[in-house]
Amino acid sequence: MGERVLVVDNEKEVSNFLVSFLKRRNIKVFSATSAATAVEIYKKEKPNVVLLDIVMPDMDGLTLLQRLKAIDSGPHIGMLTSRKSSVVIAEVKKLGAEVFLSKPVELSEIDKVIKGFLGRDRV
Amino acid sequence: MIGYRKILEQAARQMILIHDPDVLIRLIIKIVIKAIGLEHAGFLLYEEEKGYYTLTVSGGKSGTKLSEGFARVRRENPMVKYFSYGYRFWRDDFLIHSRIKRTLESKKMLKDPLRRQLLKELQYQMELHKAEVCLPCFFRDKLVGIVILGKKMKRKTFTFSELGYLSILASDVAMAIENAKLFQGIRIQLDKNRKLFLRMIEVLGGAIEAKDKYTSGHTSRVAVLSLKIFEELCRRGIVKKKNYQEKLRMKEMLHIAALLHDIGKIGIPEHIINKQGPLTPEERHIIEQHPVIGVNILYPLRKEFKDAILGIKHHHERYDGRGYPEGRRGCHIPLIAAIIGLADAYDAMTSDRPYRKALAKERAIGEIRKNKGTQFRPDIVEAFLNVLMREEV
Repeated sequence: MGERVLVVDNEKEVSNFLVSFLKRRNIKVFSATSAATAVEIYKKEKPNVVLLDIVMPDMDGLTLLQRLKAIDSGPHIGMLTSRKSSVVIAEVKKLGAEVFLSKPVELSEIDKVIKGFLGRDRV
Repeated sequence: MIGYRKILEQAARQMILIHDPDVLIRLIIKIVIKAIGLEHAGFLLYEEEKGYYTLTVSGGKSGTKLSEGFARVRRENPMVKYFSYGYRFWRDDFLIHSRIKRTLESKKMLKDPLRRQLLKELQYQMELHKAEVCLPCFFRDKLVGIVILGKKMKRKTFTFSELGYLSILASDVAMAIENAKLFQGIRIQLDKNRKLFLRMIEVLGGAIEAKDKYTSGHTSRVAVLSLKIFEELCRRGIVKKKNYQEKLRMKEMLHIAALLHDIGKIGIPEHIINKQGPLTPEERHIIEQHPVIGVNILYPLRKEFKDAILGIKHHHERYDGRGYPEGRRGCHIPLIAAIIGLADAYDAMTSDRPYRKALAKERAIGEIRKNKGTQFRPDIVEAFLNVLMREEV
């Protein structure tokens, strides 16, 4: 089973960027800019890792997180968002997200998180 | 001259004219991508108030563009450290990915573990940012930003003359960015001052309400309504828009006049202002002095507030000439005064007064319609009715 990452961000520029950023690491990447497509891809492609933004057009990220975890609690979920409130962070962790990155983010942080999730170290 | 040089020199000349740092950076990145033929390029801009470098990527293939505020680089980042601490592993200022790789592979490097460590970190950072080359942008000794250059198209390699040229451009960019930041700072400060100034005027205009218990909130309501009527008049082409600046200035004068229209009441005895029941002719005469008293109060500002003062002076004139203090009629009443006159009358009718209760909105509107062409200027009444209608919806 190859390494598969789903990127969910309502901003096309951001998800495009993340896709090309991750693809360079020989990871299979899927992207969604709405909650509905995110759920669909999650079911069909069974990614190992999901990077999720809290602000989505059709559903808030917390509900989406809950929904994904209900479908399958296996995959690692990392939040990547511009929200910074500690209440939100606590809520997100309770719902099962393992990592919370706030924008603006250092690219090395994303790299570290993904590598941590996928269980490999950089050489 | 070589093609790319020409393009970049033109860019350098133009960029000093751009006063928005973001626009400037995006433009430069685009030009560099085109002139050198790159897959992509980016810029890390230092933001003083945040204390880190924000990544702006523009142009290039899809997947390399980035929306603002997504990625950053801290001051502790190896690339920032390399440039700003003044490490120099080579004779030039550039970080070149292939050169780092070569150096790491050479045996010489093995001897110095610290160097090796830093080089490895730099290599990793450059790979994260998909950078072939990084150039520092210094303004004096401050690292304003870092230019990130992606691969060249068709697997070509960078030449040293290109890099030399780009590093000169980088210092021009640093200067232009500093310049743009200064302009932005001035604009923000000016805007703050303007808002503060209008607040002060609001405070001053509100002071009269301390004396007149019935007019609480009256001045700010009149100001809001007056500005809405003004916008409507602009929309209807009744206020001729000579240019945008002129319109803004007139709007500001109206705003000031509306906030200060009753300032002269400070000079009227309290027992007359708050009197219950009808006024005697003498008392009426005294109260009718308030526009002129207002003008006198604002005398020190007669140049700066010229139009606002006219608005204050004539806000009790009537369209048919039976108002005060001068009995002006029709188009001889300044527009600002006529607008405030109507807004003032409407707000007075719809609030409680010492001598009567507030009228219902519909009745007040009826009164204004009835007095269209006698007390009020017809086109302003029309604009006013439209404003109210729009708000109902």
